Amino acid sequence: MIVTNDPNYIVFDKVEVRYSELVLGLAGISLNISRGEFVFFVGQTGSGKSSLLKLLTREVRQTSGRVLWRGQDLGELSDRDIPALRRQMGIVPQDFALLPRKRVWENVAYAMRAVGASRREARRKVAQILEVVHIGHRADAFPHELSGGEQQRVAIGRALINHPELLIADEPTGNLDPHHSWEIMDLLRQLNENGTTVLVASHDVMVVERMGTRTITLDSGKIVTDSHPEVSPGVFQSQGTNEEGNLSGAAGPVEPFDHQEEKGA
Amino acid sequence: MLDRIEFLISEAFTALRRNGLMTFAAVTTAAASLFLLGGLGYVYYRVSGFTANVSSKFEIDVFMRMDLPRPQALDAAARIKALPGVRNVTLLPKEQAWKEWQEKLNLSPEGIDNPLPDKLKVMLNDPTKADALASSIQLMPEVYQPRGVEYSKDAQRLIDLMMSLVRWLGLACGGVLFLTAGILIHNAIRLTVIARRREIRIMQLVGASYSTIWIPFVIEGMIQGMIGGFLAAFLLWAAQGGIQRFIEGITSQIAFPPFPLWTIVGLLSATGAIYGFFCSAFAVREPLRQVIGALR
Repeated sequence: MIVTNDPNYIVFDKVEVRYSELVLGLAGISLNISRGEFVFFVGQTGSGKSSLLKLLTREVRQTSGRVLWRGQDLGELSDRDIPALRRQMGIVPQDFALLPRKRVWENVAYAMRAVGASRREARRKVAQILEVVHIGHRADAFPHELSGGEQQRVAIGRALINHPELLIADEPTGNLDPHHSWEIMDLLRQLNENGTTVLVASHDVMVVERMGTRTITLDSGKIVTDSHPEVSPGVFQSQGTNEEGNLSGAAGPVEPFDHQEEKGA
Repeated sequence: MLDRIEFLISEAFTALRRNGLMTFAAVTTAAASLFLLGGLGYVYYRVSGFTANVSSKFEIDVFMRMDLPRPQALDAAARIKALPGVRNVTLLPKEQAWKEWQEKLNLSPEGIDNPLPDKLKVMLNDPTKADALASSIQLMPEVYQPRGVEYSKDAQRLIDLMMSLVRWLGLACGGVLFLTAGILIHNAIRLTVIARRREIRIMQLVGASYSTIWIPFVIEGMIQGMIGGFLAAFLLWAAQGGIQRFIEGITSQIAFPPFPLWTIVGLLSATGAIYGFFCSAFAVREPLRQVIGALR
């Protein structure tokens, strides 16, 4: 994990999200995130962790306050600018959102074509992306032939098509057993080690605690705790997982989307 | 650019395939409505040509008062010519008319005074205005009373009826079917949006532009309308051929002009495509907003 000194990479400034008079998503939270951080947002259902991430992808707009990313006020963006915003980040949904009639490589290629890549370009890059998420060997499989963990890998691969510097995952292990949860976390950790800022909403306390990264706990739309563990990069050195869900050294380095150099870190 | 167009079109064809039954319903209804509209339009066009031909021969005879001096008859002719719907007016002097009668009936004029008045032959631009013109001419003081105006009311009424029938039948039947086709195209597109909500969601997640999401649906609607128009043109061609053979079997008096097949194909396909564009563009707005909203 390479964290820069700029604490204002992402800024939430007294942000309130109100869905209706009775439903409050976020109750005036303030928060700073540095570039290159790996941050967990934890809390019960309805605590506001998903709302917080959706403010960054502009699936939700704040009722008051400001949300800044790289100094840009996301609340000021027009609807027309939202696709361009999302092309700069990777979004991983909880339910994988894979196309069942398309093979693994076609799922990724489809997303690439949708954002303007040519057929040739998509064909060339898909193999590379699938290797990054360690699913290249299942490129010709259909989603129903994959385990939950493998499907989530494909979803993460698809989120990487735009070479994002920010990866947002909403409950990425919500549908997975502990073993596959660790596989996914290991993959996210590798991406983070190579410079990608990773924000994860999760209610999987065991996984969060073992990752030992910054963890922000939310309750009723407010930040309850914000733990900054004194973490050395060594904590995240490839540990992998074993059957019991302990880290055990599964994956290799992630090269193609290395953001360290561009940060000058 | 070509690659992007290919992607958008392939998305549209995927949707057409996946939503086969609704596509079939939309295309056949569009074809039926365009067949009726196009067919009635074609008949109307032909009947208009026919009536224009008839109207050039259509005239009203106006008999002047027996004692009317010639200058006043000429003055009345000038005033009639100025009326709207009148193409030309010619005076048939009573002397000439009497001479023609004698020749026609082989009469000897000796001892018989000319019993005929001066007559005006009024030729019309539009035979459907004959009734109104006849009434106003009859009111002129120079005209023989009480019945100084004569014309073929039956022929005029037949033409009038035929034109009205074609016009209203075309508007009513074609209009209802056209609307039905529009609703079906609209529904087909709405169903497609729902059927493809997963693809739409993925496009949203990775930041595809709104046009990338929107355009395939509009292309799909245009293709449905265009195929409908194409089929309608060939249906029309077949129907016209059948009617032509049927009439030629009865009489050889009526000559049929050649059917402009490719002009009709172009016209109806273009009409269908434009109609499909508007129907689908309208249809895609709300469900797309709902599907995108469901992401949030």
